[in-house]
Amino acid sequence: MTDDIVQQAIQGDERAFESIYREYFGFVFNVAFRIVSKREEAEEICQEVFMTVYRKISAFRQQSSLKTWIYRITINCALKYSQKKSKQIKGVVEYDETNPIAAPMKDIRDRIDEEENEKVIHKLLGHLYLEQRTCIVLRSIQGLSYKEIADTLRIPINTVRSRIKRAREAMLALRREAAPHEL
Amino acid sequence: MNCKEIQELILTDYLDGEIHQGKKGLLESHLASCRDCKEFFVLAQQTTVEPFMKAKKYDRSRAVVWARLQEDIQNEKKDTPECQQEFGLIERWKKIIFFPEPVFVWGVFAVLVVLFFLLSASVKQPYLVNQNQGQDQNQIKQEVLVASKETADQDEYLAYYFNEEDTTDYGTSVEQYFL
Repeated sequence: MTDDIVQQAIQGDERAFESIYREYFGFVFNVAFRIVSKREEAEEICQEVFMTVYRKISAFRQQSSLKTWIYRITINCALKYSQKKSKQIKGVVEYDETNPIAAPMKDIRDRIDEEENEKVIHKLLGHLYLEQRTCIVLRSIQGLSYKEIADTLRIPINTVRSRIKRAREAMLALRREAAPHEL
Repeated sequence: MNCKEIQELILTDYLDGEIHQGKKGLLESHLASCRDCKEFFVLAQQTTVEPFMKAKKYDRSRAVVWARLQEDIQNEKKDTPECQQEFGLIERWKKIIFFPEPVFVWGVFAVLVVLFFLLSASVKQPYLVNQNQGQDQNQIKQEVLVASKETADQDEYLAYYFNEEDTTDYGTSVEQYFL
């Protein structure tokens, strides 16, 4: 994402806004989906995030990077939505049956493994508190560094570290409770 | 570093590749010699990291959400002030005549407060109170005069009832009656 595109978007250029959408949709959607666990809800969050970006980008002062700004909006929207719904994702598993990136080229064994892995992820994430889940999603699925997570969530880096540690301890405890094949 | 410290580092910085080189060397040499910590590391990696590395990336909703966004943006454009100006005079008069709700509520509240103070001030004005007291006292004096003519035994009581200032006015007629 070049500075020119960001500048054009700030000045109201809709093509530039579309470029931003294409660049960040994947992150926004996947983070939202992992936090709320339902595709329809993740779509709603996505819509809200990009409408916020559309409305507020003219006031974006580039004090933080566009990436961090959009990440922050995403997390805020997803957490707000999740708290509003007060839903637990424990045991609620939803699959995107026709994932265009994954499915057609893979053999059946791979698809089964993939679906099993999705079940495990849902179970693990469902076992965590919302703030722990957010840190794990940002770190382990989206690959953000501790610094990027701290900037996005506006929390100290050691808080990120302790949330990740507690989340992993909780996941290990779940693993020890359950038989290995159940996870 | 002891095993507890090693395992704390494994759960955070080591698994996430954020560990400093110096500590990394220490940790790895510990892992080479400590079976428990090595097992802990393998379990932690298998349980808390690997499933997420293989997580699916969803992309299917991109077009759906974009279509909805376009719709929302168009609707929002209709609601912008530039579009509203097209409605012309009617809209402008509406804006002039109809105040936003909070303004209306505060206006009513302010009027009620002013009315309350006006009413309370008119009831409690001191000069009005004195006037009323004066009228009452004159009426009482008349009644006392009549009464004193009828029953002389009440005179002492009346003298006690009214204070010294008040007796200067009506005392004369009472005394005259007895004289």
